Amino acid sequence: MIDSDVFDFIERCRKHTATASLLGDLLETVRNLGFEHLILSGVPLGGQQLAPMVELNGWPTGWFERYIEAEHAAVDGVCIYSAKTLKPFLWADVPAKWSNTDGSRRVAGEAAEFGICSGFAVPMLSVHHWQSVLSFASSAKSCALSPRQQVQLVTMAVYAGMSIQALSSDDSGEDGLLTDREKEVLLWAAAGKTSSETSQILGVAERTVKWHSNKAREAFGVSTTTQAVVEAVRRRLIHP
Amino acid sequence: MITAHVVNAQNKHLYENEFDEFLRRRHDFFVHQKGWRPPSPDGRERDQFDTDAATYLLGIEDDRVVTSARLIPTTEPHMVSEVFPHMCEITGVPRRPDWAEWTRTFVVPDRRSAGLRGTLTELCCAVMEYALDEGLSAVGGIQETYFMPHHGALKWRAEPMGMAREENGEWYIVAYIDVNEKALQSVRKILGIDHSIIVRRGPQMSFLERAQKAIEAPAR
Repeated sequence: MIDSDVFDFIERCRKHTATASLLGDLLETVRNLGFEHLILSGVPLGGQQLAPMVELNGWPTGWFERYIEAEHAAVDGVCIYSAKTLKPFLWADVPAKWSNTDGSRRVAGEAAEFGICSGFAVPMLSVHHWQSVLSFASSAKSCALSPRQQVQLVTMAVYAGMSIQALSSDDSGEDGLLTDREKEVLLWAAAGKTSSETSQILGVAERTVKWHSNKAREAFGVSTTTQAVVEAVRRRLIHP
Repeated sequence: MITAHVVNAQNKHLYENEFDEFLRRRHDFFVHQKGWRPPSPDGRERDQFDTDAATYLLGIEDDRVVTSARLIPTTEPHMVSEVFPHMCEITGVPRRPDWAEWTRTFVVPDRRSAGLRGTLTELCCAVMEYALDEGLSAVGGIQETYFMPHHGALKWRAEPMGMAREENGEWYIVAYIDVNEKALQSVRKILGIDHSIIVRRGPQMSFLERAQKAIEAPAR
């Protein structure tokens, strides 16, 4: 692959108006570097659901479903390390602490059955999540990337990441993410109130309170109200 | 919401305290947090590009300097021309009076947020407003690749001058952002404002005129 292919990709990046065409283009381009699959996603933190965070899904059919269903994100060393570093890395270089666990080895074994054996990941800033990662996967036993190829891959990843942010943040900010009622319910939760207490304060049924906290959890793709409170504070949607 | 004060050689005397606070916050960030620069005995961070050619936008909120930007004409010696010229392999180092190098941006820790409607975006809005006011056509320079998606989220267009590259363990790219009315509108829309956040006090200096000077100065 030559550098001008990278700049041609960057030029095309700006013309894509839908994620599907951007994904197709990127997949086609990185095939020249030996990568057949890729995923661009927010990085899930403890217990967050991966599925709502995925922005480009170029994983083989069946593997994505399997990964979600088995909740692999919680044990996969590549995924865990993606939350811990700001720098691009080879999957093979994930520290043993995270890659050498039973869970992570099991994920790697299953991935191999889908033709995913090695890879390279580029963490990036996300305005919606902790951070995001663009992970490129190869069926080769190990990624043989020259320093120049790494440079090419990171450059393309950055522009793909920029384009996807431009395509996906069409809502004006995150204001619409939570309704006023949902924010109110989270604020009371932050103040230590149970749903029953909140229902008395707001003068509504307890199941209504639970319904609103459930909506807030769904909005963030998290499984507990505590997590939803943390997310809402982190994104400055509520100010306890 | 911040107000961004335009500070340069012409009106620096009106901002002695704020400028000193700015240098101390820079020291906190670039020395202690980033580790990019050696500690300075006086606790202020300065470099060779803090000259009379520089214009600073100091983002002030609740009487504190919470964020900043430094803009230098690319016709003057600047970080890309002096330190990173090898990273402009597509275009060469741009030297144009209407292209400004944007450096020394930080956000104080308690004003950092993950969402798009935060202090960093307010600063970006201020830079775009100032650049448009001054008739510039691009702002940018050396940037961490990690943060580039932020430009995308603002719907800004950033033209690369070369490939991303790893230097001292971090990845950077040289890129310049198009300055135009549309870019200002999109960042204002995200912030939900339709008014200026730039404040100008005292004598002002035209960025373009100052940039032009560097070209006209007799060769040394």
